[in-house]
Amino acid sequence: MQNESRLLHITGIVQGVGFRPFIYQLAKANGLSGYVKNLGNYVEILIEGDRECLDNFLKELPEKKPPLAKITELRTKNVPFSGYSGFIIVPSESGVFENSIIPPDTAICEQCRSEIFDPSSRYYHYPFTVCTNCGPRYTTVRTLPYDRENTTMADFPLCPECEKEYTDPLNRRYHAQPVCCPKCGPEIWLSDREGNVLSRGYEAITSASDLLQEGSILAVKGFGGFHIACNARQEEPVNELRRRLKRPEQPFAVMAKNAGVAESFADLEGAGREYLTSHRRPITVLPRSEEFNLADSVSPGLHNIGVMLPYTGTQNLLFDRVPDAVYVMTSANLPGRPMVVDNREALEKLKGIVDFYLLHNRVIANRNDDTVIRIVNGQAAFIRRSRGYVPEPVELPFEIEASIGVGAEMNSTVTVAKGKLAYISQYIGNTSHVETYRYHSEVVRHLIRLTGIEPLHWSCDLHPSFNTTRFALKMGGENTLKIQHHYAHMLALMADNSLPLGSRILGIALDGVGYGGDGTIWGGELFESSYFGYERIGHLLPQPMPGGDLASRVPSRMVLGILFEKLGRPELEKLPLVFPQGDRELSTVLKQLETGINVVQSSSTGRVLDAASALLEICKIRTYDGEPAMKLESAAKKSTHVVDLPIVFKKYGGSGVPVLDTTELLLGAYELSGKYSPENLAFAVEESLAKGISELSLSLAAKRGLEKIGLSGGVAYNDHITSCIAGTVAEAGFEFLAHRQAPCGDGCISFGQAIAGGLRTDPESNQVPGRV
Amino acid sequence: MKSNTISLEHGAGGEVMQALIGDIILKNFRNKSAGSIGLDSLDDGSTVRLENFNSSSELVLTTDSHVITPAFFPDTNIGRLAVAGTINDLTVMGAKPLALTCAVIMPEGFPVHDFEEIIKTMDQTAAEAGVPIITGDTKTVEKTALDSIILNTAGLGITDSPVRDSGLKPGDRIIVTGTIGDHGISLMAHREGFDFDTDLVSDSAPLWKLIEPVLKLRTPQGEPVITAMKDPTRGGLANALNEMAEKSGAGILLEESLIPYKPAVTAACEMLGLDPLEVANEGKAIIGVKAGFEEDVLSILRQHPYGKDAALIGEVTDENKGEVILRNRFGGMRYVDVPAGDPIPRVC
Ligand SMILES: [Fe+3]
Ligand SMILES: [Mg+2]
Ligand SMILES: [Zn+2]
Ligand SMILES: [Zn+2]
Repeated sequence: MQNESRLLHITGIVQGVGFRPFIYQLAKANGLSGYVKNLGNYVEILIEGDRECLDNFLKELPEKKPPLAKITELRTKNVPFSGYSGFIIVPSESGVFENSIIPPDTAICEQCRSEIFDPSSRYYHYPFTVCTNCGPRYTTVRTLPYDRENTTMADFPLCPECEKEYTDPLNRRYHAQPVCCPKCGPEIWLSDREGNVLSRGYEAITSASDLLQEGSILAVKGFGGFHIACNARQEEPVNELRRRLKRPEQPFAVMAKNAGVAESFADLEGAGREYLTSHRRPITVLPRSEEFNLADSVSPGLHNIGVMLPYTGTQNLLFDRVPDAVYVMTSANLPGRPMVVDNREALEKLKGIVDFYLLHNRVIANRNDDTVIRIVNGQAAFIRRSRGYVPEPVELPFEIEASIGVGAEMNSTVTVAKGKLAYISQYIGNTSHVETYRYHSEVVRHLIRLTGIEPLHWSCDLHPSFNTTRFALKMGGENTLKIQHHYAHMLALMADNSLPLGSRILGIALDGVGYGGDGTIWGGELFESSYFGYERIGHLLPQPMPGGDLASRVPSRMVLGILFEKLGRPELEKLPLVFPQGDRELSTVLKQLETGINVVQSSSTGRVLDAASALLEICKIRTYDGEPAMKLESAAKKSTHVVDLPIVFKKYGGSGVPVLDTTELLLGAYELSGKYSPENLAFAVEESLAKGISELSLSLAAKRGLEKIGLSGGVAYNDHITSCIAGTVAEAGFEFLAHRQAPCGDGCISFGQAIAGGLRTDPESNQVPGRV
Repeated sequence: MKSNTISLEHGAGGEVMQALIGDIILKNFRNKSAGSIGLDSLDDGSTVRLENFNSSSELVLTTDSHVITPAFFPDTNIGRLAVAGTINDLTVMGAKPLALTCAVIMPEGFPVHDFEEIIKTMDQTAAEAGVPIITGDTKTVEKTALDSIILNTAGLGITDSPVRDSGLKPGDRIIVTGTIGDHGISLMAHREGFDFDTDLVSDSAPLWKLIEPVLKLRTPQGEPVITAMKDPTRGGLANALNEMAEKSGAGILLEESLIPYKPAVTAACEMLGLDPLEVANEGKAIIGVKAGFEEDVLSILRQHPYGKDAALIGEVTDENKGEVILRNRFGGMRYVDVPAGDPIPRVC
């Protein structure tokens, strides 16, 4: 036996997550002595004993660490043996702040869950039961250091029993900041529309579940905001909710007790099950199963449905009496606006929408929407990265200077980064709305405070009239870096894949619209991209958008725009298109296309998919963001035949850059519309678009000696298109890159911006070099 | 991106033009003030102090050039625009128009008959406001240099309390004297042949007689009730209100449901994808009014044919300094941007 001694310094999420008790137990199990103590932003461990045991300890540490713990850095060094006789947890010295990274909010753990269903436990039926392994975290933090008095739990002083658990290093609740019990913690109650209390505690929850069964619509306060809930098994309440929210088609997420119930209406094969059941509890968008037995109106016209499992005590208790219930759980907000977080605000803003309120008196310090994940090409893609993930940092493959990216406009996030860590904020929403924009400023302030990173560089989108752009210019001044939208997508993609600094990739950005480096509107882009610049080497054929933004809202306008040059007026007038303002609008659009009044050119991919969806009569009128393209994808899933559409490349105008001719594609679909079903043609449009883009990418990558081909942008959520591009790229021997931790859509823009800022080489210039 | 040559955008009234004025004109003219309001204020006109007179009154001087194709449009022509535009610039400075000038540049080949028609229209418009046209200049150029007529008018006015566009104070009410967007939409419909089945015509009109009576209103403390005025021509309400908010260092909150529009304007904008707040007007004024006096002002305005649709559309706020916010019928709010020349899509 040979005694050795090692000193460990660990940084990451290592405080308030049961890390020290875990180290204590692991040391004991391996027969080691020494100590563990908190030193502010890291934990110090000294272990002594047999070398094999030490090695085993070091091997098991990362494997067995508590679920909420996250190690961003572990440094080990050999030190002289000093002969400790046992292993101890050294109490934190006063003045040592526990200011490591704040953990994300996590679903109630199995142990706490069984306690709330155990009549002998003091936590029986108590919805706010938590321990170091579970419960709300980020949503409770007001300021640093992360101590109870700086969280929303400060309103609830610990009772002696809880105090005992909180201060016992061997207890599961040791230093878990949100610890509480029925005696000392928050309260839950059911109220009517006027705010009158109808019942309290467990009874409030069971009454709520009864009301839901009877068809009522309820507001339910959770970790990071309010949900609106109704019974998802019956058409009536779901349709009533649609009427009240004026959301005729937008899919609602649902909640089921467990994976077993979810299996009865959704397909959990593949990676879906893993995400659905993970302790982060995202909404996982899953294919509807064959025997789908929920109200069809939950996700009308779509082949899939967003599902999540309960993550709060309250949500678990809502299934206590009705284990096979399935509830609609949609966040309480207008599209793109901040979710309701405050009780009084809920009573006011949800008036006329909900019948009852299930409220509690713990304040929500940070709004945090549910995370939404979709399985694309066999991998998880974040539609929204929020509750359960935020504020966990993304690790960068290199060091950068302190920097902040303020995002784009829709689905915006903020990213603060420094060194090797980037903190992507929770989902913020559409910052063109004043309320969302104010929330955005709040998130910026809060994220800077919670990370302690004072940005040296501010970055924003190139779009001159985004509110976020103006905000960044106000904060960062003249020196604010303006990053082209699709280049920000590429920077995010590269860092997301841990590519080192010298890397060059062929980057494909497929999305709605973004302000281009040449002042025109882009959205179907092929770049040669590095961390220090880009060149636009290919794109989709720019198409007219008659009416600008209106062409994004009315997909029929895009059809006329794309086919205008190819079809005569009589034919254009006969297309099966629907316009909100009828024939008058049709003739106005044609006139616009003739005169060029408020017609902009755009190489957007999203608009081409919208147009196909309208032309094939799959989605005639858009009622929510992304609807035409989502329904096109759902229709394509039902395709039975392979139909070929023309894939035509051209040299474009002055630049001579190769483009994919999307007019030929849409014209092809139109010409075959008498012969094949809309489903078959929907598949064909997606397939040909993906093939065309792949072919162009492969030839450009080969010519330029690029070995990696990556895909970003909102269109990357389309499983068919992404799988097709990924497959073609891999088959040709190139490496395919998809997003891992950042969303494919505009939720990744702030991340890309922050990287550009942090790597800035020329502080005089406020743009990263781009060749367009 | 700075360009080396002048583009159409440089004269379009948006941010690009503002930059040109700031970077080149204001930087190079050194002597820019003859009274209490000079060129640097970039107001609708400037004032001239009357040195040797024992009077608190100041002269107001303004000038405006007009190019518009076609020169004739439903009901009227460029002559009315040129005269009304200058009278209105004096009017929104709070100045009584005293006299106008008239300078003309025409290409060879321009029909004499059309020219006479334009001159007659100028005369009628000036007569309506009781303002003489007292001097002028005529030039002709080669066909290749110009394809239609250019009119320039300068105007001289007088006031003893000039109204600035920077005078808004938190709490003030915002009034507009009539329906918004008529000029821009009617012109576009006519010029491009859009059929909006409507008989919309330009609102071009001299506003002196409409505004004169409200200028006289005083609070019980003797202060003017009107705190600021501007005519929302190029760039529409959006441009004018942003300028007023920025120069006043205050915010403006507009209620969308209160803004008066002709249904034809709303329908046309909805179909073209245009924001009616950005559409030009040629016979409207925006008036800042001290709180509590809005009804007095409105009832006076509504007695005049040009003010029959006058409406209270919003108020001046202490917060959101320099910014204009529009609240819709459902309570949703958005910023009203300074028009960027051509609208740039942003919906992803
Ligand atoms: Fe994007
Ligand atoms: Mg003017
Ligand atoms: Zn637990
Ligand atoms: Zn307690």
